[in-house]
Amino acid sequence: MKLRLDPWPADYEAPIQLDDDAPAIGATVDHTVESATWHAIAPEPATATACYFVDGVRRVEARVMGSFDGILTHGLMGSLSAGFVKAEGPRARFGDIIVNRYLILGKGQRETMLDYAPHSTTDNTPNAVLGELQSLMRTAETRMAEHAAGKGGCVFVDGPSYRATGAQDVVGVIKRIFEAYVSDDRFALVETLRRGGRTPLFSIADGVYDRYSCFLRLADPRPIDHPLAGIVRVEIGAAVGLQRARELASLAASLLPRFASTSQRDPRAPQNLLPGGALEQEMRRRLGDPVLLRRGIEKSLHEQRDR
Amino acid sequence: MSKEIGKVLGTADAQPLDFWIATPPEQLVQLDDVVLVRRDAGNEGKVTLYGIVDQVIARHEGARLDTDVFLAADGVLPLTHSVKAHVTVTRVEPETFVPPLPGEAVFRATGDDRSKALFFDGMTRKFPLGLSRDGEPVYGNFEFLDGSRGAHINISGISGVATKTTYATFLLYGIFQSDLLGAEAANTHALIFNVKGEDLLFLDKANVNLKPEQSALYAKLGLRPGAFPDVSIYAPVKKDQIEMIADTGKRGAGVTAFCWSIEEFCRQRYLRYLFTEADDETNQISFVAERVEQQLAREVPRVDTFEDLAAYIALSLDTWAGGYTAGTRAAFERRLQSAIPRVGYLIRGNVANQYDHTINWQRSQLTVIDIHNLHDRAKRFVIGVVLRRMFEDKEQRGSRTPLAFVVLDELNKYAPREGRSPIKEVILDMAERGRSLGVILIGAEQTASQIERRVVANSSFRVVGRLDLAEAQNNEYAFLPATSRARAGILKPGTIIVSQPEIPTPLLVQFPFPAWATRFEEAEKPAAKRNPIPK
Repeated sequence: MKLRLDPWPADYEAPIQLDDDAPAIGATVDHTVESATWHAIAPEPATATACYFVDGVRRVEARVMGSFDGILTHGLMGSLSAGFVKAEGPRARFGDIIVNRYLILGKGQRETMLDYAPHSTTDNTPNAVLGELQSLMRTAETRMAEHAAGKGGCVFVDGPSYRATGAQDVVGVIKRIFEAYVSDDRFALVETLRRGGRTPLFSIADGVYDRYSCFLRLADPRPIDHPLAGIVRVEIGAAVGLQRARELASLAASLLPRFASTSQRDPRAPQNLLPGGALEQEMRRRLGDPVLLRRGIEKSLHEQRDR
Repeated sequence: MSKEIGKVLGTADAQPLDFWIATPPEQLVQLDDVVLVRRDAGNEGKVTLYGIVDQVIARHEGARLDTDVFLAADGVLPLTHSVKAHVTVTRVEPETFVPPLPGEAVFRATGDDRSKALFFDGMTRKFPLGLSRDGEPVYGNFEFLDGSRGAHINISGISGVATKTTYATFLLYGIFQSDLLGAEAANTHALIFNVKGEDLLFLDKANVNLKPEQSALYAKLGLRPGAFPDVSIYAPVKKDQIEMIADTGKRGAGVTAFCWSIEEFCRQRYLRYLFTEADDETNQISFVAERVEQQLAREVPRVDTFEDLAAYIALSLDTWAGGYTAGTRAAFERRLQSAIPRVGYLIRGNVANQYDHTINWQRSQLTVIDIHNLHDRAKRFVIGVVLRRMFEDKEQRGSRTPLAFVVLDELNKYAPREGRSPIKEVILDMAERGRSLGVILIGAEQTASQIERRVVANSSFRVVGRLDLAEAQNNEYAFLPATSRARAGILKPGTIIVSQPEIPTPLLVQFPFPAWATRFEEAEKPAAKRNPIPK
């Protein structure tokens, strides 16, 4: 077997990819929705369209455990941020960026502390409360995508949060390819795509969220990289209709390669797009200094105990 | 009311004497802006820190690679601008030295706040130094000039940009024209040596090229633009002419020709000022000169010309200076001989009305002595003699006021760092004792590093015009912070940096175009419109 490099740093697998590209079990995939023949579609010349890049970050500030009615309860204090970057013409700038903090407890418990909003989940495991923080972030991303949509541009959302928007001009960008969706012989086409090229759209019907999707190449890989390096999958809600989905997919293919990052700027190059990378950095900055936040929590707990 | 321009930033240490502020990019903060920040200091009450911006830095925030700027310009990478400014604190009121807290609003100081920041509020007597970049007056504390707390001004700057003497005359104009001197104004005198060109020979004529906007600057300083009202101009008598005609260029009328009588030359012992080369200390010539002076003062020889006097001295030298070697006497004689064509015609035997040709520095408020046409030795002679006379007059008077100002360019020639000479002694005397005698030296030179240290050290006001950048690195300019030194290399004519005792940071000051003529053409009556039809 000839091995090739997956250029992302090895430890990027550690943050759990809770819902990024969950395998579509039992989904019906139709690869003929756009074209009867399966062939690479070359990019059209880029049009002057305003692009919005929506992203979110989250951080666990402290894990907490409590005992309610004698039952051990898991919880966490976490921060999340969601925002967007607007890139139009020769200027990219940060749009709205929000920061929220939550104290999430399992078993439906609620507590208030500092400025962490109370939130609860019915499950009571460390992973469940973390999952809840993730879904709060996804919700915030969705709101942000809705906020950015309808302004006459194209909205690119990192991950599957776009699904809940129902807006007409929102494209989900899935950075990691875990699932082929199409048969192996068709998937082989993905490896041969050139920069800006895409596969024809295929539909994914899983009964939960029907959508159109295609693979698209952001950047050509180095010879030592696996041919899948530099590939993203975009998703568009089926509700927008095939025609609109096709337009959006072509728009994505013509626009996105411009925003692809390079390895010296971003370890997750090229899939972590430049505006997204800068936005993440900015959002993490706005989350505040983790050491300071942690100390604030500890101080507050000390004071509660003294009382 | 002072306007907010930014906030104290917290990513760099804020200290009681200097701190950084972040400013929104749309807020134009520039070097020399005067700012203030207030801080609640608990029981001490409100503390106000006043300061001056001396560094401004802009960066891309969020950029990690130098080439990120291209991506930002392409509209791919969102980056924000950060602009920060460094403030050097000039004053803390009350004197509770606490750092300003990050996040505190910083205001641009205007009106009374600005006066406080620059200590103008405490100056009971102040004289105009010029205008700051934002067009506001900048004052100097006259107490540091008139001798009560300090004296003297030293101006350094490369030549050819006409800044040094122009600024010196501007200062005099401000001192004389403001109400500063009060009743003493009439008896206060200034003496200017015109060492180069004819710049200073038209001070008594208004400048026809003065534009209304320049006049407005004078008005801002509380001055009425115009010529110096009360001026006497002296020029040396013409060489090889018996008649007493002033040797001037384009300036004709109203110039007094000056010379000295052999009588005065001998009685007052001026001979030493003919031997002012700095190398004199290495040989015995100055001692011979002193011997000769003694003899001449005892009995003035009856001769008509300096040439005859020199011959008389040569004949008597063996008797008068017999104790010195023949070599020394010969050297003395050689120099005396070479002085004949260069200086000799300024020392004359039978001048009919000598008094009309004597420099009287007390005749007018401003006395200009033109020596630019003279040989270097004659220049030294004139400066040495005139300054000593003036100094002696002031000594006899015994009181500091009314003041006497002396403007002298090319100090590096007359008070060089190395060596000893009679003229250097006069200047040094003026620098050290002038403060108590009310003789104020406004000295100028290209390079302060080549001036006698004590002359510069005794100057309360240090002024720097455009400097050679290598010169600016010398210790003499240690009062300039690094940014000011760098700026001194690019100063335009009309802009200078002033350091004065009370203000801990030097100020960049602009002074208006001279309201008096600095050359013949400027003193002309406005010519009739030559070309009424525009091209």
